[in-house]
Parts: sequence; C-alpha cells; structure tokens
Amino acid sequence: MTATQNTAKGTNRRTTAPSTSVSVRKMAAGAALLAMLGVTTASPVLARANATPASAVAAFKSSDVERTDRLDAVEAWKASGYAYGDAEQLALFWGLDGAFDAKVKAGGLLLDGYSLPFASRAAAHQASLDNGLSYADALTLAEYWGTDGNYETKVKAGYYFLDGLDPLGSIPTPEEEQQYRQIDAYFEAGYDYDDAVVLADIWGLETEFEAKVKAGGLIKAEQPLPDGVAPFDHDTTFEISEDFAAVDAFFDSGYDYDDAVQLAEIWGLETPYDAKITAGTKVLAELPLPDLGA
Amino acid sequence: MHRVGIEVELLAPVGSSRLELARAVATEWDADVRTSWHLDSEPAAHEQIKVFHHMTPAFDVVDQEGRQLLRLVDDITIRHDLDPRRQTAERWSRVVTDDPRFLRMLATKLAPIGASQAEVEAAADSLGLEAAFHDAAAKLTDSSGASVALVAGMPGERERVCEIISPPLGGGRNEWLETVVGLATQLGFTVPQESATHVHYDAAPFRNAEAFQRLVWTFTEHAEALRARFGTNPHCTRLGPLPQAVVDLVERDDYEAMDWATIAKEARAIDGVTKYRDINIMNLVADAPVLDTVEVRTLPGSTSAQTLIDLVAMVDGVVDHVLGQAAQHA
Repeated sequence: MTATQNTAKGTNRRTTAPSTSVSVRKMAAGAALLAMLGVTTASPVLARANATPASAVAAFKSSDVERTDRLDAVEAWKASGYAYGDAEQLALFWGLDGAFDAKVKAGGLLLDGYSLPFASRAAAHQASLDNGLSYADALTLAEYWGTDGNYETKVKAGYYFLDGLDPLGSIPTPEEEQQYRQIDAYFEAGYDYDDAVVLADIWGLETEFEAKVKAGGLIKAEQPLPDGVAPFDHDTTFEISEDFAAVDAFFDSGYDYDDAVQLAEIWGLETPYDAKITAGTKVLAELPLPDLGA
Repeated sequence: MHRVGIEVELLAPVGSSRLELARAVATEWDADVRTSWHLDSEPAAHEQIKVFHHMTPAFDVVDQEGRQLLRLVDDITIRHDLDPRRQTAERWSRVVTDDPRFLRMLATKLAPIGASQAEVEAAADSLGLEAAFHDAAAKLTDSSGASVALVAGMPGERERVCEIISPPLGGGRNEWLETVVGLATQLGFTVPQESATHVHYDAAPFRNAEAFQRLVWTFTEHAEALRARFGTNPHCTRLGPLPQAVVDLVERDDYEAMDWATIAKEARAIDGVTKYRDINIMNLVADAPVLDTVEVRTLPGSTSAQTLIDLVAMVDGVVDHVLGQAAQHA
C-alpha cells in the first residue's frame, strides 16, 4: 500500500506536542473506533504512549578524564601531525562540544595504538603534491567544489588520492551535467524510482537512469509523459493528453493527411489517425520519420 | 442509516458498454436513458505540465417525473483491463482541451454520440472556430490558428468502463444496490483492477470543531486500520491519510475555541489537502462547495450487492462514531 509513501511526501513534522487533555481524548476516541470496527490490535497512539524513552548514550567530556591522562593525550596529539583544523573536523564527526575535547579523545586513541577516522589535512595536502596535482587542475576542482583557496582544494583532492581515487573523476562532463539537471527536474516533479522502472519499460530503455534522464528532459520541455506515469499515482492516464500533444506535433511539423496515409502504410498501422499519433510521438521525442518524398 | 451517495467502478464485458447497463436499468424501472457529457481531467502532475480536460459520453436513467435514478460515466483510473488498440465505439466522441471552459461551451453544442461532420462544423462555426477534419478527428482552432480543442473518437475500449453513480439514497439504499449491481452482474460486468467504491455523506453535520477533530483523527491515526478493515484495493493509489498539518491544526491549544469558519479557512490553506486522500474533505472546508459532501474513498469495488451493502454499513458506523462522540460532548 502506498499510504506511508503519500504521508511521507505530504506531511510536515510536528514541532510541539498536543496538550494532555487532547491526547487523552484522542486515545479514548481511537479505542472506541477500533472497538467498533472489531480491530483488536492496539492503536499506534496507545502503543507510543506506553513506550519507555530510549536512554541517551553518554557523550565524551574531556573534563571527565584524569588530568595527567589529559596532558598525555594532548602531547600525543601534538606529536601526531594532526592540527587544529583536524580537531575541528573530529569534533563535528564525534559530536563533541569543541576542538579541545576532540584533541583529548584523539590523543587518547593514538596513545592506545588506534588510528583516527581520517587522515590529517597535512597528510592529504601532501598526497596532492605527491600525485602531481597541477595548478590548472586545482583551479578546475576549486571551481566545481567551491572550495576556498588553493590549499583547501589540495587538501580535499588529497583525500581522494589517499582513497586511491582521482579527484578529477568526480567532475561531471557537460553532458553528464545536463543529465543530472534533467534528473533533478525529474525528482522535483515528484517522480520516483518506481516511476522510472515503468518509464524504462514503456520506452524500451535498459536502465532507470536513462529513463529518468529522458523523462526529466520532457518535463523541462513541458511535454507530457506517457500514460500510467504520474507522481504518487501510477493509475493516472495521460493517454488522452499524449494523443493530443502527438497529433498537434504532427500537424505543427508541416505534415498533412496524405503523409499520415503514407506513414500508416509504411508502418502497417490500421488508420492514418494511428499514424499521426505515432508520428507525432516520434516528433516530440526528436526521432526521425521515414523519408516521404515530395 | 445515513443518506448516502454511492459510486462503484465496474467494467462491462468485451463488446458491451455502460450504455447496456443504462438500458437494462431503464427497462427494469420503466424509465428513459438520456445521453450526456461527463467532464473530467487528469490531475496536474507538476505545475508546469498542462492539465488536460476531456469529456466523454455518459448516460442518465431518468424516470417519468424527470428524477435521475442512475448515472453511468467513464473513469480514467480504469485502464489495466482494456485493450488500447481496439476501436469499437465508433460513433462515441471524446473532446479534449486544456481549458475546462471550452469543454463546457462545446458540451452545449455537440452530441456525445453520433455527431456528424456537419454538426461538428456547425458547432465550431457557432463559436467562431475553424474545424479541420482528418479521419475521425476534428481539430478546432481559433482565428489566430491556436488549437482550442480536439473532437476525436474514443478508442481503447473506454466504453466498457462503467462508474455507477447513485442519486442520494436513504431507506431505499439496499434495493437500489441490489437492482443496479444485480443487473450489472447479469450482463457480465466485472470488477476492474483499479476499482474503488466511494461513499458520500452530507457535509453539514461535520461542520463543528468536535466532529472535525474526530474525523481527522479517524483518517490519520487509524487510516491503516480502516483500510485493513474495508479491504481497500491495493491498486488504488490516489489515496492517503490526511496530512500531518491537519492533525496539528485540530490539536492546537486554541482549537476548541475556534469557530468553524476559522477552522475551515485554516484547513483550506494546508498544502496537501486534496481530493485524492482516503477521505475527501475539500467540499467540507470549502467556502462555496460544489457538492456538499464528505467522501470516503477507500472501499473496494464489488459486483456483490450484499458486500457493498455491508461495506457502506461499516462506513455508517465510522460516521456515527465521528458524529456521535461529538454529540456526547455538546
């Protein structure tokens, strides 16, 4: 059932809880309704009301660490090649209050022989130099990533190198850019993976990716999609609107009745009207039509 | 028992149509069949994609006093069981346009079945339009050449689709269902894949804070339970619980003190309150409702009158719960 899907796409999250009297009345109403319907399972409202709250995981606090251990940890940190910028990143990564807490935690880990979740920024920068990242490449990357300055760009690129990847491979070609824009339009219109599966089938495409790109292109050109596919609703038909747009496209391209007769013969269709729809659909999809002569 | 309007989506067998059911019912009740247009549209998938509006032949069974006993129309959600390549309803017309105003204008000028080329030309002419004919289709354009509407045939076996629409039914509800659905079964009508049954209740009793609150809770917290109980058709996807924002509205601290006009106004402003939910409250909260009903949309279709009778009775119970509890607090 798609009830959950519809809910997820149509709701806003609550920001405040209802008052107690409202909650009580709601539960009573729910129980009465379910009893009337003969449903024996507890309503979600009642189940939630009885649940115990999950216990919070204790957060790391450097003030909880013994002073001597704290000093050792900081010394280990200083000797590690990690710097303040890394401490900030680690604090975010671990959800800690500040960079100092991160240093202490990280130093403690290093002393115990563990490695940290990511390499230092200095190490990453070095990796860029070691891999011969050119100035021009760095500029290209900076423009695409929006990183601030040459150093930052090299650091970010360095992490790619450390993972064995080519940072330049992350930049899409103009053709790929266009495809991503079309896919954006596809999702923004509310379509999803399931719709892409249907479209790929209708259009005889191999992958949902191709279907999304094609559909996104049609959406951006304000053309209708084929029947059976509309966001949230796999039962809506666009059959009629598709016919209408196709016949329009047929005539707008300068073809006439005689052409339709010819096309019907060529394609083995029953009527010239069928030919108009088929031809118009091809015109809209920018596919070529057979040569009809003068 | 509440006074209700019932809609059931069924399918005529191959070679037959909803007109056959209209004729059978008319014979049974010594009434007449009148042909008319049914206007509908596909919901806009995206604000930039045009919504297409169309009208197709519909049939009304009307008694000697002119009262409507039954209406049978097309339903665009019914597609799966039809063969789109067949073209069997040769004289049935379908008019397509992107502006419903043109449909309403053309509806007064064109016959739904058997309109000749001359009649289409005359209709176009009377509206200042040009008709260009290519086979069975006529493209109507205005003086600047802009396309206004397409008057075409109706391929794809759409004449088989039969949405049964009842008049308001009170005490005679069971007999009405037994007759109409019974005749449909005799004629070989079946339940199409996307079939649903909708039930309309008078909206007026729901227009108070308490009832509306219970209505919203019923169709959000218990949407799933109701669907399980009704046996909602999983192939119907134009459904869903009401949005969370409506729940938030009825649980606000100041909600009980709000008057109905304010509640309705707030509800209208909520994004996601559309017709295509488990319950259609659009007319309930509307300023000037077109059809003054609340519509429950999650019942499955059936060719068994008894099943439909039982299902509607169940919805009666839900409505009693929503309204009855309010009465206790009043």
